[in-house]
Amino acid sequence: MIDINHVSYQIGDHKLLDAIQLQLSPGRIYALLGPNGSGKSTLMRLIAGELHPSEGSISIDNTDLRDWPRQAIAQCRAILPQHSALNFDYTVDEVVALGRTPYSQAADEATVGPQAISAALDCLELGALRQRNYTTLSGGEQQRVQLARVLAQINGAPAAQQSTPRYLLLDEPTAGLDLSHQHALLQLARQLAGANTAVVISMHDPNHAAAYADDVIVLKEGQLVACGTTHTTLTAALLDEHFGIQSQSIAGPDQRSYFVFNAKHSIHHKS
Amino acid sequence: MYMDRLAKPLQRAVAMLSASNKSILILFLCGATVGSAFVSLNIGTIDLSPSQVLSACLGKLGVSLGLPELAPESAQVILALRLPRILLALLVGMSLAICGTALQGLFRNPLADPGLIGVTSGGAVGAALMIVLGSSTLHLLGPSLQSFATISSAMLGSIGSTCLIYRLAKLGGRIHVPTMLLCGIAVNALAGAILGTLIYIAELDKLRDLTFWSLGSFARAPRTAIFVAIPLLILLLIQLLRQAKQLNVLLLGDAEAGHLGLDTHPLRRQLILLTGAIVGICVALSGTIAFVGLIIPHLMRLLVGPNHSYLLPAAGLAGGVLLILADILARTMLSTAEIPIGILTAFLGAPFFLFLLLSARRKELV
Repeated sequence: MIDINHVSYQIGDHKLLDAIQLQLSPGRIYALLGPNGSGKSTLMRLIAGELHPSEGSISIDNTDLRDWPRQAIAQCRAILPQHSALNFDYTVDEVVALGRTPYSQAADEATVGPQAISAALDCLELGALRQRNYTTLSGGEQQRVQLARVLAQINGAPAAQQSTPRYLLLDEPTAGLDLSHQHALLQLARQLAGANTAVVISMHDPNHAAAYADDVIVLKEGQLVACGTTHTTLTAALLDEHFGIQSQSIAGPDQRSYFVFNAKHSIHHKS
Repeated sequence: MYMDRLAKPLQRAVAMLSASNKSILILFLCGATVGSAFVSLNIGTIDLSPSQVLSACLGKLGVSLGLPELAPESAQVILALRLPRILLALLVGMSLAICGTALQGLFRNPLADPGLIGVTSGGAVGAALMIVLGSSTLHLLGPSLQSFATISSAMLGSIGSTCLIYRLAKLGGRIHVPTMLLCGIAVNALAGAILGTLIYIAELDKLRDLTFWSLGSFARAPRTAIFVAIPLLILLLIQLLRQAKQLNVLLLGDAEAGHLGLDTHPLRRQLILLTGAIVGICVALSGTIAFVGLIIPHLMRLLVGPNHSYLLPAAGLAGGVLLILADILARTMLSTAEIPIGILTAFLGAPFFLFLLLSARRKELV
């Protein structure tokens, strides 16, 4: 479990996150919602260990993040960044294989590693692109390769570790993907959650959250304004209050609530 | 464009180079290194036949093979004059190409050449400062300590400019390439001004030759300096080669490398220290030899891909071969005098750099 205990983060006098209190459990998908600049990426980077809280603490499985050995935490926590800086001519295979870096000293990596890489590639339908040059792929394909790398990182670990909880952070993973791959990705997140993984996805589309997330976390101006199960928390009233968007909630065939926005009159101006 | 059209099929053909083929390529480069070094041993003002050269080399190792005995003074020419110079060319070529490769990994950009971004000129300033400021006291130290002082100062100069460029070019976790190149121009200009001033005011024999610092030469390094530098260079190069796997991960990005369990801060510091130190030693011995660290890594990347486990050794060997061959040309092209070796590498490298810039612009890297 990720325990975010009263975490604030500030640069100078500017508070990017203010006293966030959250607990994230394996087996669930968390949709992280909020307007631009609300602190979603900052929260992700804090959980990823890139930034350290100014106040409060974050622990994973009852161990403070600062006390985790780097390799050990990399075996159970992976992050898909929003943008990739990779511009060298790696093949798709090589990029995904880099996901196995945390296991370089494991005894059985010679057998487990290639299996994990193949499984990740198959999972994202990248089998045909294995020998392709990463830099020549489209943005969406590159995003899928990066996701496969992240999957290879936390999946296919030695059998003994298979039951250990794992944590996957996806920072706006659907941006740049076509519609079918957006849903394939979210379905994949669903599967992963079923395999003892907590999946945190920052996103903008409330209907994605409605369709796939167990819980929603809503940030606004660095404050946690709502948090709870999707069914009870994600409502038309919430979208109106925090995003300034008017919508009607309708029941989908799966008994979940979806939102229809009225293009002409939906923008709600506060004055 | 033409080079690009040439490069594409080449790249496609070698995309299929499997791991074993990459090893074969590295073996081939080893052979080329030994071969070019042997050819170079044969060339000089005193005419000696290949069998005489072989006899001198093997004689030193205590093997005779029934080759003709050699007059001791001829053996002396080969072993004491030609061999150290060839070893110097080999090691400097290796060092510059490996450092270029590592810097390009650190900066995550194929345009990061030690010469272009000012690492070499930082080393030149360091070496010249020590020669001028230490001129009154250095000669008391004896030749090997004197060489050591100059080499250390050059190392510090190179490390300093690498640090500076890295700090300046990094914006919010990413390397800003135009800033990197522009900072390189500024550092090079400043270094040129300092060198010019030192040479103008010092009027020392050692410094008077500006072409040594700007265009390089293998003819000037005193043998004591070469023997001080060789073990140091080998040690540092081995240390740098050991970073291959981590460099592979670093190409993904600093944050991503951190997510994969790498402690990126000490890694970056180590890369800056190692590349700076190695380039500094090279500059102290042979001046500024531009573009080796740009051309060779790029060509080798086309052949073996960006995996540093193969790329670093391949680049090192190819860099060694390039400078041994360039040194042969530099010694033999004109009968009256030697051409500074940096002229030859610049003739090769400058057009190559333009080609890289254009293709990078097409990829929107700059």
